[in-house]
Amino acid sequence: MRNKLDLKNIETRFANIVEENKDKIYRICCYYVSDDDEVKDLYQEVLMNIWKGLDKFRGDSSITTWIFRITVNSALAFLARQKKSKKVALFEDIINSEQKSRKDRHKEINQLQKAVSQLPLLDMIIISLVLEEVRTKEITNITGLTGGNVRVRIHRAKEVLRKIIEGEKS
Amino acid sequence: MKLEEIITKSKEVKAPMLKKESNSEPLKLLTDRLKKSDRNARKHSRRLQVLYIVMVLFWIFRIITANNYLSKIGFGILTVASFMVIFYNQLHYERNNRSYFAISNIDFLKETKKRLKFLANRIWYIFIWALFDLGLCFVIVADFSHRYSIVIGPILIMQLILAIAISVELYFGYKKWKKTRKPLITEIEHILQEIKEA
Repeated sequence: MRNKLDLKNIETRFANIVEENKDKIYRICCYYVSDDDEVKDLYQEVLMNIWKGLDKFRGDSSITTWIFRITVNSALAFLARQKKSKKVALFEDIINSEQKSRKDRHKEINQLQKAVSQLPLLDMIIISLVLEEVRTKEITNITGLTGGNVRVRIHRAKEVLRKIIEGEKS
Repeated sequence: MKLEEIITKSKEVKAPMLKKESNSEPLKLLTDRLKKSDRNARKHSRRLQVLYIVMVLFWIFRIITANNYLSKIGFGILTVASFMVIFYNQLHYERNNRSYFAISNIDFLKETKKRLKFLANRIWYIFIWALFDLGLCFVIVADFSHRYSIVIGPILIMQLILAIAISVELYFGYKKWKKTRKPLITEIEHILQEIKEA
């Protein structure tokens, strides 16, 4: 049960976490689903799960490891459900004047998503973290895989991505 | 465009802004909504529990006041069934609120595999359903103890209908599960096997 003081602390911590990591979390969500509304649903779910788990976070791992674990696991659960939930949308697109440039920027992330989605699930998880510059050691903590295994998969997945993306262009 | 260039450009993608429905700070708005959704889930769960606690009290009252053993057994079974609903509801609530999302991805896949199993939740539903049915049968039979022949027919028909309903649910549930959930379990098993071998 959360008392008022705890709740205040949790709210402050949550606000800091979201402020510092929201873009990374959002981009990771983008790698797992292609539809814009689904990305927003998933992003919302990640924030929900961070909120739900925050008072149980005891600092056994670094806060970023904890956040990325929740992000990837929420994405896996979302993929497993494969259905659109009818939730109240919390988010909206950035205002009209920015709309066009945002769409242009989305081209790259859509292209990446398309390529990433062709990878085996485990490689997909790893590469989504690599693309957000998460270090190998942290990836081993997030995924539960060994360092060697992660390195091999990163190398392999990057090669496949390069082939898909650069092959597409040529 | 090279892969590295695309990666660099993709970094420009920012998280969407919150809907501006009030003058509050966007994050305050978000935490308020999250708290509200948390509160609603808790309320819903508590309401159901209160309802079943009232039912348990009523069954206990009937156990005390019943004048034959068949009724007492019947109300006893209904009490156990209602307790099981309360217990299951509590487990369900805690499971939804427990942050099992914070475990490593591999452990998460193992946990998900367990949750996706066909009988994972159904075994509870069927057991509780059967207990309510059994309890009601005892109570009805006890009330008509002097005229068994009148109720035995309807009770048997009711059992048949229930058995058909459970079978139909299991059949279609299994078909749906085989189509939607089983491939996921197979995929998770494949991943876990791959990791084990690596």
